[in-house]
Amino acid sequence: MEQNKVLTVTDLSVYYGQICAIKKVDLEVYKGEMVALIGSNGAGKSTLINTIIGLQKASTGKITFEGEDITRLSSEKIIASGVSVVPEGRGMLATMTVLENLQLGAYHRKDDYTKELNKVFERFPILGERKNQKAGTLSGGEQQMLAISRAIMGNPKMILLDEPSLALSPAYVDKIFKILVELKNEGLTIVLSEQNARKALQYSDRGYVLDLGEVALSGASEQLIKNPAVISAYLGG
Amino acid sequence: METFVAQIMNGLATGGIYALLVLGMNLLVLVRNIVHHSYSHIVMLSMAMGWLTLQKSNNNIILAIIVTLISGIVFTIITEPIFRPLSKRGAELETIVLAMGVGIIITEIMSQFINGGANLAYPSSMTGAGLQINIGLISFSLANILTLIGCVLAAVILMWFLFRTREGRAIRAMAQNLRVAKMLGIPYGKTGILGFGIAGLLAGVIAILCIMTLGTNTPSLGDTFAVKAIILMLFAGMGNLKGGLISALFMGLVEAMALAYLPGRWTEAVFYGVIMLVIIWKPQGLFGSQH
Repeated sequence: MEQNKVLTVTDLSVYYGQICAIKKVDLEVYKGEMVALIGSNGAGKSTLINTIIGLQKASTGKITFEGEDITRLSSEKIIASGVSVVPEGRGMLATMTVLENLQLGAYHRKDDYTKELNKVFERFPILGERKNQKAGTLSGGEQQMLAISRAIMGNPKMILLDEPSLALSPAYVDKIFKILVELKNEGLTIVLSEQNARKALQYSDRGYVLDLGEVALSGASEQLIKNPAVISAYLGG
Repeated sequence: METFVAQIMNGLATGGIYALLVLGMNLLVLVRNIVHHSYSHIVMLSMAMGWLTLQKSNNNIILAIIVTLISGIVFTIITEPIFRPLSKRGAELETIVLAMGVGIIITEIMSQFINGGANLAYPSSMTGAGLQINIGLISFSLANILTLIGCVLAAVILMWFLFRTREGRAIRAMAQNLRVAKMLGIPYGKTGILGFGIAGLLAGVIAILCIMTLGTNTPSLGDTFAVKAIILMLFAGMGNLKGGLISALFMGLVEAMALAYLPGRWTEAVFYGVIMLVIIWKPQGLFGSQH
């Protein structure tokens, strides 16, 4: 089991000045898993993701990726080591073309990425048709497909998604989650933060419930979805 | 008619130099979101380094060109760490103040240490002064034609770099959304320094073209160019590469026409008058800000 561990977060705390955004968080992600981080706005989900990729400095604690300590590494090194991110709000480079967005997803790669590019266009023909169009002209759902495709272009071992269902129509939310399950089945490790706890737990393998920067609960998603505390706090029932 | 065509050539050569200045400054807007007011001063200082080389090397032109280009690159890259803390904080206005300070220091250095602040004259073997090309009754100065060709080449190569290469895309991504660029693994430090290096090479090229068209250099040249370049940037829209090019060429023409057809020295008044009207009419710049 130990060698299947992709990401380990140990005793991680993050402060913004005096304010504690994340308090002593422990988290483990195994190879080929989809793990959901759920919690309300301000629970620390985005901070956790930003800290994993080195955009936010950890105050204390340790983060390892595939056995290597990445706590103090720069973002570009962490991303080059096989972590891709789908930013909150999709993070489109709106005045650049669809193709340029995809090429930038492969920025750190020295090898040829034509194969991945063709695979993206096969999976999402709409992106192929519109590859020379500005990314900002795509619909919200299409932009989310582009953001996920851009993350895959980096040939990552793990992708982190910050609120992938944000501002999407319900039909698209299911579509996006189905794409993620597909990617998981192809061997990718996925961590996603989500306010839409029901969908996140429905599709993921395991979940962590964050509350005010601390892990309040964790476990298999099918257990969490039945947990009365989770139901009353996050599933509106 | 002959004067008109000759003035168009003059105007395009001047406009071409303005265009490259604006292009270089817009590149720095893209990589660091700064208004590098002292970019023109760096051009002037690089021209001075070329002049010093000519003095010391018994008019070795090739060596002077190499020294000028390297000076442009080195002086521009040196300023990167000065701007970094401000641009990290997103302090746009303060960068102008900082750059003005750098410009004043460069002007002072020029007037104190290089030829006692007097005019620097370049030999005609480098400026090509007096060489004319005659087509019928119309004669063009060779320096103007070479300057124009140099401007077009430099602009095309820079655009190719920004729009067709991996690093160029990274620079544009950083300009558009720094946070997302970092999430894509684009290194803030290295990419910025590369942008400064390219802007610096461009400064060296501008310096050589200025030597050819102007033939002289004075410590006040940096200020003259800086004010025009900044105003042209605002005129076209901050960070708008293509808009900057077109506006600069157009204003070069306006200036040349005013010089040829208006009595006295009305050039500057016409130049700034046209720009004032456009800024009042379109506060976002003629082509819109791309930042």
